Amino acid sequence: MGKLKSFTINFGPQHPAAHGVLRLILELDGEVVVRADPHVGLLHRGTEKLLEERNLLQGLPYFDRLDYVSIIAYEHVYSAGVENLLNLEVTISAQWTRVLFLELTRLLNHLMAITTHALDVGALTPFLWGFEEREKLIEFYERASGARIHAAYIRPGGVATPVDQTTLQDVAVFLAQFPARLNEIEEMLTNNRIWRQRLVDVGVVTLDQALSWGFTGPMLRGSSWGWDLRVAAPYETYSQINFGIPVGLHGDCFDRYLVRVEEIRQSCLIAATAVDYLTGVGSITPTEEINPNLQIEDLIAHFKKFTTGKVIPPRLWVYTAAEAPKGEFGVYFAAHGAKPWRAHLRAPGFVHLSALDGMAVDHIIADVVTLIGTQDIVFGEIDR
Amino acid sequence: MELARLYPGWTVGILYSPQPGGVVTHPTEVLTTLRGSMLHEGWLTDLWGTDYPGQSRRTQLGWLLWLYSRGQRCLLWTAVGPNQAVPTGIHLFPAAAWFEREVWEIFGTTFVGHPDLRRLLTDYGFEGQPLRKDFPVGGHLEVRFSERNKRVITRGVQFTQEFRSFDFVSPWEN
Repeated sequence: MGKLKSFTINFGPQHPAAHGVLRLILELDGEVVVRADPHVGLLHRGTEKLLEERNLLQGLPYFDRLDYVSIIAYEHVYSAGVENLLNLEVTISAQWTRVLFLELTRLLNHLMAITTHALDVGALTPFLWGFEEREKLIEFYERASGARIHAAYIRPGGVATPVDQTTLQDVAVFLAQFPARLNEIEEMLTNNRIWRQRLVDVGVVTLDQALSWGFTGPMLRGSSWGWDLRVAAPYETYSQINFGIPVGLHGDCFDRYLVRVEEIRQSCLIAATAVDYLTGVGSITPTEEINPNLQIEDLIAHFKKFTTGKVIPPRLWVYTAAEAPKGEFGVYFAAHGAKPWRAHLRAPGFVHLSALDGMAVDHIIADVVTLIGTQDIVFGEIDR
Repeated sequence: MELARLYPGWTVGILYSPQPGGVVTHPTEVLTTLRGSMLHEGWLTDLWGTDYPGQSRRTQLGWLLWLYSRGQRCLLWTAVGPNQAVPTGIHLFPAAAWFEREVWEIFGTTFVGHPDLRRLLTDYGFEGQPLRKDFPVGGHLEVRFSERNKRVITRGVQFTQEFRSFDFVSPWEN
């Protein structure tokens, strides 16, 4: 028998399991991965550089485009960062509206993560079911903000417009129906023999490894450390809500899948709490809108607000982080006049992908697909 | 914003606070401080640079550490000049590998001992440090398909409209 020759292959950037634009160079020994070298940056748009040229209101929509799967979670971190910088207070009802949409966003993200992971591994049906539910969630985005995907809904200081009561009632109906849909997806996957064969004991990450690789979010919780910024450093109204943080036991891909499923269930509970609060409030009167075209002074004030923006004293810096569905997403601002001197984004996917080499070693090439799926990679945030 | 003025004296130590506190250290002391944070079960969350041109140490670096047994964060600052290098923290924190690659790529700060300093986010063969303040937002080169040569070519950027950055802040205020 001839000796197996090790060779190098390109995985992506057009591979459907590369979740967009990952060029992964795999050094193989037979079918076993010796080294995985991700080449990223194919979606690099220079967001950090662009933010230095925008004032604090103008920078917001770029955050929708970072992780285009969990849109509102990212603009929330930006808004929270600006609020920290300026010491802004957010009204309680706006905070509850934020919590509602943050958790709906978590559903959006985890539905995508689980079902595309299943798709990569070979199960098409959960993907179709999950996307039907995502479509309903996207409709809530649309009803609240007017945009299906790039909502720009959470703004510095609050939310763009309060949600109306009929939308809240429809969200409540959705939240009542959705767990049954999730059960169906689980019936397809959790005890599915193929799904288990592909996930159980694949990509085991020990707690030490997870910490030293800088993992956060479900990737860390899958390795049995219940670290969640919603509890560890509560923001908005999370401190008033009771919810559980699921953790895995073995740190393999299957545990991370179970963690995400349970997080969906917990998110439904949190969202239901927020809906309860918001429907109990009755009509939330928005701050009185100024028609900028009535008075010249209003027009000037409106113009100044959107062109000059708020001038921040220099030497101020702030790092604000929140629990995005993928992990800790943080924004660092160094202030300088009306525009940030430097805006740095700490993307969870970037950190997770940097550990792919460590995770993929000694796995066979088919497992690499599972690993990319379990990392819940989205290139908008990694490439920035 | 001068770092030394902001944080008088180069001190080594760790500041604990629920919000990121700041510690300033000399570039050569970075490893010592990072190692010190490990005694408190610190792990690296983030590393970034900021450019302050016109200063002798123009690149300010920030390491964000998470002291997970305390559930606290700590921020380590240092500043380096254009020809200065920083020792790599990759042996302490494997997560530093890509952070350092990114800082090296966009600010040009070398991390001594890093085994794999390659470009990460920018294109193959990209030149320049894009997040330095003297790098234009529009860049220098653009890539396009040339109908005449029937291949992808690189040429200098051409804008139909010049890039304009308005400064609306009134010079009479403050």
